Amino acid sequence: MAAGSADQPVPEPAPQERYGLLALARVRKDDGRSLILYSHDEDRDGAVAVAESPPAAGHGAA
Amino acid sequence: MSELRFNELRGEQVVYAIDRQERTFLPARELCPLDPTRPGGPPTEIPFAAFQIAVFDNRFPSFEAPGGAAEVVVYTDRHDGSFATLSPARAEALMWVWRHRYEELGARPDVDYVMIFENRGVEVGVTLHHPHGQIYGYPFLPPVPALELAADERLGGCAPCALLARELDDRARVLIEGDGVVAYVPHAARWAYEAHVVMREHRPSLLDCEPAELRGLAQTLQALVRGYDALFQRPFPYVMVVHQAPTSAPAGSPQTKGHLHVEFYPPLRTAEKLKFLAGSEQGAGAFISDTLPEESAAALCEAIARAG
Repeated sequence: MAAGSADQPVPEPAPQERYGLLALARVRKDDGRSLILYSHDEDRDGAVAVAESPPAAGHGAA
Repeated sequence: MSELRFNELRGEQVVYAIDRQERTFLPARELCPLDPTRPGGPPTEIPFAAFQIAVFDNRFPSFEAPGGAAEVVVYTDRHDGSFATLSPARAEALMWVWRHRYEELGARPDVDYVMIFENRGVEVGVTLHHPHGQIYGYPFLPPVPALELAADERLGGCAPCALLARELDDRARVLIEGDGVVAYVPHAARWAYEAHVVMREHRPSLLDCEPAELRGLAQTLQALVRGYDALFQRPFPYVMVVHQAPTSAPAGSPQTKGHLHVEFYPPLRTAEKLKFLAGSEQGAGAFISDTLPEESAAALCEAIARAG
């Protein structure tokens, strides 16, 4: 799944995999880099939705 | 793409990643690239308005395929806070994220060693304040894990297992003793408030841990860093490094060398004074410490109890 931009939002990613306590959604950023969103239940009752909002273009650094 | 050059006098690889010179440096809060991308706000590395934990390829990598990996692990979409202030459930989930990344990166043929770490505080060179860590997948076995394997040979078995037994026997430097995890200031600590968080059982990596052990690891790590913050009643800078088995073992053969533990290297020697690596440390490789590990351990035990 590719990440969208502010002008062309794509649907929020749904979890595609499970790993232990986690649900995963893999996203491909605009520049080709990998992004994985991990979600978990804060009450430890199971996985929850991964993201909750319209996407926008990405940039930045770490 | 970074370049490796072998330093013959030191017997070690030096990594040249010159693009990192341009990486984002202490941006204004509203321009944090690790924040979620909020409607109407600037775009960030995570193009969603909310998330729990996110991992992405570093935009300014020290290593990248096919010569290793460099990832960023964002602990929360909240800009403020730290590993210490995560909810217990989030900290436990982070252990599973670490495990997942170790497994995936370690399976790559271009990754010989997976190092999960966090630099906290400008004192250790942090360039972004948002709670996050990093993961490097080295295309070679770096010197420190190589020295740990050499210590195994020297001690005739797993060195962390032997050292943990000594610490539990001595008890003078033990900070936290849980069912599956123990934290202590090591007998020969290099840094004033260095601490090691070690699995009781021989677990080469996160992959070998039971779920309850991962939960215990998260709890112990959080108790320790909360104690650090309580020690001088200020955000306590540190470098936190997860030590695990190398991943360069042939596929299908179990990796039994290495012992999962987490080492903290805090640069503070007092509330206001930093330990610098100067003449002896850099020129001779010999650490000279101004403090005794037993005294540091006593102070840290009191701070951990105070932090609750």
